[in-house]
Amino acid sequence: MAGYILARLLSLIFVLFVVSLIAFFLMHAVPGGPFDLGERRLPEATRQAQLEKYGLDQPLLVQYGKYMWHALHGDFGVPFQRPTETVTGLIADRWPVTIKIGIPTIIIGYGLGTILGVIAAIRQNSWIDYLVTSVGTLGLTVPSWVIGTWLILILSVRFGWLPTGGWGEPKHYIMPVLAYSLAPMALVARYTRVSIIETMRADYVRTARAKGLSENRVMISHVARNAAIPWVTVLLPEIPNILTGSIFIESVFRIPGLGSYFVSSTLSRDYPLILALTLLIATLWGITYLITDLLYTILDPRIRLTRP
Amino acid sequence: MSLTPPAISIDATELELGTRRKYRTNFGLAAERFRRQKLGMLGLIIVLVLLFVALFAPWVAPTHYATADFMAVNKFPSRDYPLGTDSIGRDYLSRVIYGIRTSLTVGFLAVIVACVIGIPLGLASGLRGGMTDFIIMRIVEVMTAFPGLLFAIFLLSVVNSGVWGSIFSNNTLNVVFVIGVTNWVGLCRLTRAQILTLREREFVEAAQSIGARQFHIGFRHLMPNAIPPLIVAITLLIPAAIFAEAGLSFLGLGINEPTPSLGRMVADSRQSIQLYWHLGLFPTLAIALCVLGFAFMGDGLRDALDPRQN
Repeated sequence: MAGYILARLLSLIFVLFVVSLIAFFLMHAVPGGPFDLGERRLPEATRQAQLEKYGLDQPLLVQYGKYMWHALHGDFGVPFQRPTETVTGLIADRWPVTIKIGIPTIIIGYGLGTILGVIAAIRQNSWIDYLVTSVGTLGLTVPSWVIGTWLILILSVRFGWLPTGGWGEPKHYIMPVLAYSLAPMALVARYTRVSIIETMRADYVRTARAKGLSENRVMISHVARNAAIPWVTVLLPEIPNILTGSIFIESVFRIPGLGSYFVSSTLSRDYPLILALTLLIATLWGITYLITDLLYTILDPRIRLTRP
Repeated sequence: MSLTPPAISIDATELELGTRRKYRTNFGLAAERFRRQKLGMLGLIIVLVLLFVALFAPWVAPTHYATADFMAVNKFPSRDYPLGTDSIGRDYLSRVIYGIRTSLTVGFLAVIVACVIGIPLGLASGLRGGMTDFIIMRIVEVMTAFPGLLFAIFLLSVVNSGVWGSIFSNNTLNVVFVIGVTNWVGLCRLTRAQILTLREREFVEAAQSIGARQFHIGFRHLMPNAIPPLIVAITLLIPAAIFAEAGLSFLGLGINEPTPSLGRMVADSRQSIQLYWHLGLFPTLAIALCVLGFAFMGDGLRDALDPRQN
């Protein structure tokens, strides 16, 4: 087990290394630097001084090496968009906003999704099952910002109950969380439904019923336990995605989270911030997958950890 | 003088007819199952209508998408302008119709790009195994770990800057290329998984035992069996590509004006959505229709082609 975790962590470090390399060189493949943009052109001497200050006049490999060396020591540099702050400070400042939208989204999406999935599975082929399946397809395929626009059209424009966007008060949470939680809710409901239906058909469930266990006992210790496997393997990995936020939701509802920086830092060639954001997401992704695989073996002892 | 007695040739034709009929009934069964899928049929109808509208946009749309009437700016839906007009007086119905055309074009072409990359890599990975498999799987891992949207944004800014020459000078093709390059991983994985399970089947062993070469086995035995799940995956990738294009354009990174893109239209509508609700409503409805049509059709196809249903 320890050896397996170690091997996986090593593989994760390799992946992070390649991801940072690709991100770095893709960014630098775009012509123009951070000080060539904007309406006012900087005088050549100032531009050179700026490039020198941020080490951008050095060869790319040296720049990359230096950045990674500092990053390993917890220093991700200074964002060019906001030279008075640090990348770590900026993320620490903005990420909580994104997480504040993410947590209610996870609670509603996963909680309500599970309940709807269980109901749809138990009442298979009833009207409620069809309703859950249709809403599920809608939530999974229609972009969240389309749903968000509809919410604005109905709740703000038509009825005037809620502000079209903004941040700070409790009422600003309602529409973003609604729009954002529909997709995870649909995904959770769909997977819960399918895995419960499949588990209820399994031989060991029939055996459990045949030996006279109560229906509750069968559902809890036989069906629920086994139906939880796809829940863990498919649905848990979605959580870091939700926690790092959606550019679209934040843009539709004008929420000052991390999202806007994904676009603005690419457009303004803010190399330090881009690399930090990319590494943040990739790390979260890697750790979640590791946890998922470990949980998988606990839930299903038949699965053996073989190779990373 | 004939070496073959007539009786045997009759047997051979019967055999041939027999196999052909069996193939057709298999296909027929799948079609039959598909026809029973209410949502699947609804999806097919939506897709056919959208395809018609997209293909014949110049005849279906009242005006060209760039024709502007500066005397009729921000008009609400009326008899002259069924969906109203936008902020510079362009007929919104025409914009939406051409927007659907853009969405479907990007959707189909991007999926072709994804297939061209993903399926051969999956085949190579599954058939060759060993080092090839290891390398391809590491690439897949890195692609999965790389935040998809960020990768698309990076790549888009690279191709849009024109450093890779004039092949990608067309903005729409840039978007197609980027969406294709960021969406092949699923197809690669699926192809590989299919090959790995099919490779253990008896008919492959039989082919190997009579001395068939790897290439022959790959294309004549494995591919045909791997195709049904791939068709489903490809059908479901089209809405994902449409979704991606709308998203990139919504962020202002995708299709450029004046070519209409539904995502861009939604983004532009936000400034005045309090006053001109129609600017937000119709493009979002069109996106939902495009995406849902293909998704319903894909789900129906999955239920029709899934061998576990038998």
